[in-house]
Amino acid sequence: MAGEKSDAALVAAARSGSDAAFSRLVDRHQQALRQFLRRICPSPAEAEDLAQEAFLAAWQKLASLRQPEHFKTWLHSLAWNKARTLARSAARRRVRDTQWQADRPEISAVAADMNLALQQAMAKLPEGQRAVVALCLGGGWSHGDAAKILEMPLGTVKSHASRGRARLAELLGASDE
Amino acid sequence: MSDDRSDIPAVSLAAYFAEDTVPAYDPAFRVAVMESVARRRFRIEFALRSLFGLVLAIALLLSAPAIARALATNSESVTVLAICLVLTGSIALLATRWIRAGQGLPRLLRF
Repeated sequence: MAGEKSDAALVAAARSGSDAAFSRLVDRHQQALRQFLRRICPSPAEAEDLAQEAFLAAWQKLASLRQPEHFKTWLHSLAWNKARTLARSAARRRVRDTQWQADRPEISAVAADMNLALQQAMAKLPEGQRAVVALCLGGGWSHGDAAKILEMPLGTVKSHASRGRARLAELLGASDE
Repeated sequence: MSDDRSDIPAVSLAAYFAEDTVPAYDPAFRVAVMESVARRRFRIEFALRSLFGLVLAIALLLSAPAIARALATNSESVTVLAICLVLTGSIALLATRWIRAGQGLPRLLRF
């Protein structure tokens, strides 16, 4: 859109107290962040809570953002760290959820509902692989950017992307040419 | 984005991701985020002002006997005491501002 302020300009305005600028940043990046979190969290409700927490943390830590033009990458990184912390602290609950997932009907039985099928298939991927697939396949991020967000070596990201894509295609019964 | 972006080999796999439905514009989500920002800001502001009030109250309590004495004696002591009270208040105010600056928060609302 013409005349649209850059992320750096909005961050500067938000730092000096503009709530309107920060809410514009929320509007601009909420879709990408929530999609990413929905793909890596066990439930959409948890993803929504995490997305809100990530934005809140971003507001509180705006002063520490060294490169305001990379706000989106930084925001995803904050969210990823929060998701990992939550996953570690809720290990017992995750075991129970995994069991619940395993007891659900096979993916092929619910193939008509693509969202549910994707969510179930993503839940079966290992944590790191899931995050890479969510970013690179789902969010269109480059491997390099994903490596920055997830703080992983580039080679690991590429490996996760390749294996995750193949595993996802297998689980969903989709072709992986 | 750089040129090492993951290519999506299977159309059907891409279709699964395309089905994911987070709206591009979601006022309800924005309101929820800004509400939590306002709540956090209020809590921080409240804590800082409470701290300021507490420091001031302690200073007044400690100086209460001196105030009573000064009021009972002469006006020169009252002047000295007034200066001490102003200094105490100023120190408490500066301490609060110093703590607030240390938080590195965006500018807080003024009540």
